[in-house]
Amino acid sequence: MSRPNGHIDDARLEVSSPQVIHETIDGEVIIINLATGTYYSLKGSGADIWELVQQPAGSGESEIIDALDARYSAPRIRLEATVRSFLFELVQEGLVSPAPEGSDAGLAEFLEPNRGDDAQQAFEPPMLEKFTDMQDLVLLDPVHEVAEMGWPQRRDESTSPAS
Amino acid sequence: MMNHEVVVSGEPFAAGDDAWLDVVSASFTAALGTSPSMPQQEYLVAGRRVQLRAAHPELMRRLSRSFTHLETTVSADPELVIYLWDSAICDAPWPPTPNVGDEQAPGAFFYYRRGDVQAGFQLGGGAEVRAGGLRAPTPALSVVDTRRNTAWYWAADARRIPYWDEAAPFRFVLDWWLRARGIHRLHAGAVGTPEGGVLLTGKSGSGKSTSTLACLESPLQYAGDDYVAVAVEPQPWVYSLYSSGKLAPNHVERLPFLQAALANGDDGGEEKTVVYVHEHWPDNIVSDFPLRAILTSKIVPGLVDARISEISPLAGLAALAPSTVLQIHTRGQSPLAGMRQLVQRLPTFSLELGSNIRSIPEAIADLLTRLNTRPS
Repeated sequence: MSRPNGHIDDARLEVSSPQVIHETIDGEVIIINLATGTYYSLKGSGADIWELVQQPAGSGESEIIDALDARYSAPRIRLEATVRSFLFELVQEGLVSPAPEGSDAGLAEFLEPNRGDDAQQAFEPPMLEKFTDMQDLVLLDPVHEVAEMGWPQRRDESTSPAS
Repeated sequence: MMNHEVVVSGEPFAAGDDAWLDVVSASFTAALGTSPSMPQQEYLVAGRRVQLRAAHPELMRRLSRSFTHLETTVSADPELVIYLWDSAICDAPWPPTPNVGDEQAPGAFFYYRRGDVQAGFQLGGGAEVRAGGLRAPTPALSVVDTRRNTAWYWAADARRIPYWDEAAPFRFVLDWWLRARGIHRLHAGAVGTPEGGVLLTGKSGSGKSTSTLACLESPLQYAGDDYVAVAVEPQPWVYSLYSSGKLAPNHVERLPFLQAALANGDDGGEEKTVVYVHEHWPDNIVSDFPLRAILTSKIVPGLVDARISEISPLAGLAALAPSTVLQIHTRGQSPLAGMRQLVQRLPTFSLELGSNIRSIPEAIADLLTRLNTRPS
């Protein structure tokens, strides 16, 4: 996994399901982290990166940079630094995590490679907009998913609940 | 030290074994005991016949009040039956409950799913007295078998069912059962006319409830304040779930006509006050209407008259989805996908609220006049 100023590696990253859910509308993304109660929005190049990460096999840094390099007119070195930093932020927020070993290493590509015309677009750095106003819903009411063996449990008839 | 009432011992049921549902059902049967009758009431919830069967009249009294506006005759073939009982009043054994480990938060929720069966256990608290002289909420269990269309709601002590559960009962049961039928329970209010209405969304403190309840003194009809059920197909449609509305005590000042209708005004120390709309405005509450738009409310300091402006679908989804999804207490993409479909089908607007409360229903009615005359 890359660090903000470290060497790029190609560890594939994927969305941290099932605790992270997301939807995309008109190129804008909303992401909800069910574990923390935090939600986020993404657009522009941030939405592009998310589109690549959410693909079934996830995506690696270099793949993402290659895809953005084809879409945006920006020096590659700027793309590399920006993507590296942004992916680090997504990892820190718990939104993406390393994909399992052996995931299909297909090339990451946009589902819609062209937006209107073939000209490259001006690059705006990705920005993860974060909202924490709902965190209390999770902090006060933590949710535990119970594995089958954790529940249900028979009650021991010799032990009565205190009232 | 919290006096936990959850005592779990013994061996777990075998994984995948549905025999535990028989034990849940047996707990209800024990609660019914030798009672000469089993109170039954039936309601049309999102157009479906939902029948409540209680082991004791007290359970029915506490848990049916918010459905009164949807009441219908008891039938022989309801689409869903919900059994209600408790252990304290009914003197019945506890049903099976999960291993809660070290969790102590009263609001903690333990969720289980296997196939058609979904269950949730709310930890609640021991019988200690909280600040304000109120006792901790009761532990409670909700179970639904969507294949057999049977559900169970149990409380350790019905007398400690909190006001928010009495105002909006069986939220998990209805959420799981309706969702299996393509209907979503949303954290939203709804007001409108038979020709069409709006969904009102917004986080706590945004003025959602103020906006919804302000419409009670207008020609607009009320379908809900905190939770409603919505179908996206074949066309967006909202269904009333509960007659109740909740408002922070300091917001009641803005709606003085509510003062005489407060259901828990004497309970001092509660976070929200509750009104049961059907009890005071029986002609204003309706069961359903088509949806024309989504409004997200926002209080704007210094503003006088309410104003409405169109916003992006993503902004509408961001206002609607987080509070809905984070209260459902289950994992999964499907609730979010349903809401995304909804904001793609309906225009989304920002409802900016000012000091003139009467302007709120006027602004909504004006918007609906424009939308209801548009070809759909």
